[in-house]
Amino acid sequence: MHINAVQMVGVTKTFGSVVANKDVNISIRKGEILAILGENGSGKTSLMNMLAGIYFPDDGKIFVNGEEAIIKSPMDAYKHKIGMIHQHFKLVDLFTAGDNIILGEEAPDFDIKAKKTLLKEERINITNNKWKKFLIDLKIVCLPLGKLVAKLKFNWLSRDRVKVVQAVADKYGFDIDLNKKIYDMSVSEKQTVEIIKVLYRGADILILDEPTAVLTPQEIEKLFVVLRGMRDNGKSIIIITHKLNEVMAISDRVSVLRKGELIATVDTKDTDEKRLTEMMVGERIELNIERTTPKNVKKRLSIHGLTCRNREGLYALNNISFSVNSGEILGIAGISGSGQRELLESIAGLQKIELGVIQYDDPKTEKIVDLRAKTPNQIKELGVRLSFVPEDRLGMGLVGNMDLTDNMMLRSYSKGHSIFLDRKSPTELAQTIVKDLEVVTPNMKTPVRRLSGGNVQKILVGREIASAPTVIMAAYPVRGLDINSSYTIYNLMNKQKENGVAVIFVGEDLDVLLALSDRIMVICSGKVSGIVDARNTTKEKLGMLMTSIPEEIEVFSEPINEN
Amino acid sequence: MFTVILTQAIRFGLVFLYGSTGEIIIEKSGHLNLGIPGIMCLGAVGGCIGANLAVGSGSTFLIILTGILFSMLFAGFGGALYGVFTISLRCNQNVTGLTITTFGAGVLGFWGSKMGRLNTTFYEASKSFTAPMFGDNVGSDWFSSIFLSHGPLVYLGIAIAIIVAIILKKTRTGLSLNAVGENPAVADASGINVNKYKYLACILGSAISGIGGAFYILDCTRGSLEYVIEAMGWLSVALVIFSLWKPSISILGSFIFGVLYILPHYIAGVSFADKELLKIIPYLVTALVLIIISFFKKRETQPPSSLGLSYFREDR
Amino acid sequence: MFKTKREPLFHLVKRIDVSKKYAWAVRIGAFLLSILVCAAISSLLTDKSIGFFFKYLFNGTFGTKRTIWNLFHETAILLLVSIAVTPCFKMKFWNIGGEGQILMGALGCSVALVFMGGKSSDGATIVVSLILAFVFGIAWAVIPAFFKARWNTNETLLTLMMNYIAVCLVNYFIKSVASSSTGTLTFKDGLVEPIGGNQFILFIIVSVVLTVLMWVYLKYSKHGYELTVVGESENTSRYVGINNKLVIIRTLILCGALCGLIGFLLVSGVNHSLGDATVEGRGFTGLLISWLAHFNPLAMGLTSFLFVFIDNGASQVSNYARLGASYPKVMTGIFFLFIIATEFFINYKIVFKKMKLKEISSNGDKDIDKEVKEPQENDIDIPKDDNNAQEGITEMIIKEKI
Repeated sequence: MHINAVQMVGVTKTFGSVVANKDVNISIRKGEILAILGENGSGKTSLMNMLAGIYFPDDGKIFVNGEEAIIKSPMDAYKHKIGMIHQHFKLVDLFTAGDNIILGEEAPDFDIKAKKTLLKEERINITNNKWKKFLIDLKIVCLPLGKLVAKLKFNWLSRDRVKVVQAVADKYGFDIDLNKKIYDMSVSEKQTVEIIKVLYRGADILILDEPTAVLTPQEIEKLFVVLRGMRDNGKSIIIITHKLNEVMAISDRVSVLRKGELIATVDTKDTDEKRLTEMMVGERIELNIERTTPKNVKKRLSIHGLTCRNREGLYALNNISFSVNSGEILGIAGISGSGQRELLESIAGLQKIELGVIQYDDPKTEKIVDLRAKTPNQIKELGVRLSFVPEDRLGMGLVGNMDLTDNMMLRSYSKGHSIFLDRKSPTELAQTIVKDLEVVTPNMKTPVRRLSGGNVQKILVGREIASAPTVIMAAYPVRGLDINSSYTIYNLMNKQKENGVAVIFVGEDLDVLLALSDRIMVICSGKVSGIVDARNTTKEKLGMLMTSIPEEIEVFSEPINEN
Repeated sequence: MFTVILTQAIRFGLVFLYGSTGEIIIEKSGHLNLGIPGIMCLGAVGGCIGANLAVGSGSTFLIILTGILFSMLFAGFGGALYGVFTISLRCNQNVTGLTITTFGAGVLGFWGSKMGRLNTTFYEASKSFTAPMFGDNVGSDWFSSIFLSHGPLVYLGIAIAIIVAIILKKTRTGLSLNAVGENPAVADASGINVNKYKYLACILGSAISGIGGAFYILDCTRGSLEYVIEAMGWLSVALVIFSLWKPSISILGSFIFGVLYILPHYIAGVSFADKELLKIIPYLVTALVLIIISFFKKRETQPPSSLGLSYFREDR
Repeated sequence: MFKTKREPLFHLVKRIDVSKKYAWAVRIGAFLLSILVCAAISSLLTDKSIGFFFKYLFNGTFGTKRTIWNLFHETAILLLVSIAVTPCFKMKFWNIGGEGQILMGALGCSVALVFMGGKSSDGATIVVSLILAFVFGIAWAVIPAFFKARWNTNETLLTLMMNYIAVCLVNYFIKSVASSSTGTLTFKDGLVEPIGGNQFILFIIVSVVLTVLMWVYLKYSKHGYELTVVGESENTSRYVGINNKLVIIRTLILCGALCGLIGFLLVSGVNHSLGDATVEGRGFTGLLISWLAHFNPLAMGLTSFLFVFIDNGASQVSNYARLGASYPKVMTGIFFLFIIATEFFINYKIVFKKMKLKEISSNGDKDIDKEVKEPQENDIDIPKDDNNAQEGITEMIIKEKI
């Protein structure tokens, strides 16, 4: 019989109209590693945030060691010996690792009453020695002073303040310099600091949110050794992930979530990657998207050996090569953060690239234009009609505080030599978009941040299409959208494809990618793990490609029409 | 001559030291308090009122004590006002600070004109402040007159700066305060009560700055109500940057600022115009320091990362 | 076993949807409240009635023809200063150096006046002094802009320091030219003649014209659009290909030029003198006004007017009640504190939660759980009532069990 360290019963959490978790029952035993597996948006993180005190469940209960626990803040979670290592580390860059770990630590209790009773008992036992009695009396009187001294002593940052922390680190076999500043540290070192912090605070239940996402394979191996060591020490570890190989490598049991609901909890040794993938992605749902055969296919964009690094200096894109053709939709699948953003921004001229070639075949002049290391303005001046629907709609694609017209102008305002803005054509464009795409807005002067997500996206996509592009790149264009708005976007993309535009569609819903795209490129940790024919592939295959790179990489390409 | 300059430099520098020590505490919590000049004015008013209350008793100790307490009380009120506006009401820090400066300088001017410029009662009170702490018999050699001939508030100011430096560098309280100014979200997640720290920093920092204002009137000018405290407040804000947010450096910096401040009065044979040029130096050097630290981008010398930003933990 | 679950008594929510009516009602209410507080404080300090305060408040502003002219003149100056710094703020460049930039403009103008006044023709002197005013003002604005664009130097602190460098430079100039210990330089020749014999009208005309132009610039020009985008989101400006550095420097050149012009007008058209107090702190006041009016020229005009109304009125009160020159400062300080506080009530709402006791059985048995299940909580939204906004500043959403 196992004792459950944590048990979540019937936990439900909604954000507005979105149900993040629905009636989830999950448990973790003492001394085991539980993997929580699921696609992006399946509710893994929000579920765990309820354990860590970031969110409070709308419904359901949490039991820690068999007793009900109410966790309203991270401090409450610490008190129940639960610690979470978030994907975005919560560390002060300027401090050393040691100082970050002891930051916010509460002073040990100095219980005057208990000490008093203890001393009093001692006093009773002494019968004949007056001097000793007096000494104890003095001690009792001085207790408040003792408390003060203890407090001050605790408050003092002595030179060997990291000693205790070092002991914790040594106990679990962490190799880390606690006197190193965080800003000098690599991502994996920062993660180690977070783990030590949680352990130092006395956590018995550790939750790690996608801990391997930022690590190299060697670092992942090291992390796993540490995690196993901690498990053998009796700690319970929950690891949130969507990488199947890691689930198989590290976990004792797996709980699979899909669309906010718990699908099943199985013992790892009784399952395999294929069955897990099936559980994770579910049955294929046929979507009612009309897909036409690509016509008049010509090469439009070709990318060779594209490589760039992210802010941490790690490879965000590693030797990516593919081409995009006119009249087709190239779907891009991958776990979020695998390099999708960097890929699109490199093409749009917003990301510094280290290596590689980006070539554009101009349909008008039939010349090849080099897009490498160009600013967006230079790309525009070259006559390349490139549209980009970024992931961050209100932070990048649109300005939330501006109205529709002014947002339309973002792309077109600099046209012409007048020093004044031409608001006439953007206003007309805005009206057309509102009419054609059925944007719901109180009036044309409403700042776009006050519109719903679907309407915001329609405005953004509408504007990007309006410039009559030859290439459209859309990053997660239906994220957070209701079903009707999503279909509007799919139809727009299809229409563009029929007009001979090369469409790059970065998506997360595999059903949509399978129904909409002509070809699907799967990227995994910044590398291409396959380019497949969307008509002849399965969800499972995509799922496998998303999580691991096969030895032999399949590259499917449309027959190019050379007339 | 040389000794007189150095002695006076220490004395006047102490006004900057009080001001900057207080401002450092506040800025470490992530609040750029441009209200410090006004808060020092409030402190001056409080100090005079407090010292005046006890002047009848004739006890030096009592006069100084009430003077300090009242200046801290008045200035602390200014700091609390600033805190309510910028912490709880999340108003723009620059706007609030400048308003508090207007308000504080106004209060000093208003109250001063009611009291009369050369009020003899303050002169009486100031005697307690200017009386050398170590008595009159410390000797008349250069060392004694430069370092040992000051009133008690000079030593108190240096002591406060040292204590604040130690607290910031060597205690958990300082560590937490630093974390609040660097990244309040992290501090919050680590279980630090961010608003408590911010309020305490604003109130305590203002109170310390306020002593500077009182010190100026009751020691430097010997009880004559002068309205240059606002300008000295701005120099204190400059000194914070000059000393790279470290009270230990600002002890030395305050002395340098003090020399530059009083030097024009003591150099003979220099035209009025050149004396004005000398006054530029503190601001100019501070501006250069600011540019140089941004140029080198060394993490330790940057202003606190969240300086000037309100913290609002989104409803979860 | 039962446990009690508590939620905080109230918490703050950012308002997404702020109606203009509500915002203005809060602001006007705050203004009236601040006047009342000023009156109350004054009558406490002077043993005079509140009526006395109001009498001289209006007497000092609308009492005579001259005070009315003065009211509008001062409003015009202040409005122009806030107009000058507005583009910087709209770009989220915290230029608190308006004071120094204007003072440098005044210095530039004075340099020309000292070396040309009476020696060259008045026309030439005016042109040169205007040009020098522009050059000095622009220089003082471009330096922080350059360092901000190049190395991301903290512009707030740098412009603050440069204010005082400007003060020192002005004093240096005065003393090296006048070689006396007086604090001001006065000029007789090469000045701008008052229009139609009315010394107030020049500033009012310039201010109105420039306010309109600035409004057009911000709203209808490409430059104005670009700087707004830079201020709103650096990511977006990158996305559409705006050169952020260029925009920052260009905008600060504009700001410096306007500040230089103000300095020129103050020296050549109004004061006919230069002193370190020529600007009278308007650089700071102007930035407060610009920020509080949310960069809306009309609101800036109104706020400037209210500020000058209190400032001039309080001066008159202080003259008659012998309260000293600093009394108006205290009053305007109170006025500003009230207006600043309105920002909070406009941008946030306080949501009160009725303390609720939720009984939670810690028994894990699911069947029992379903029986004890709570009725759903309902949010009752009290809709915003614009007419009632003054009383309902802290709008509440009462959350309670039904």
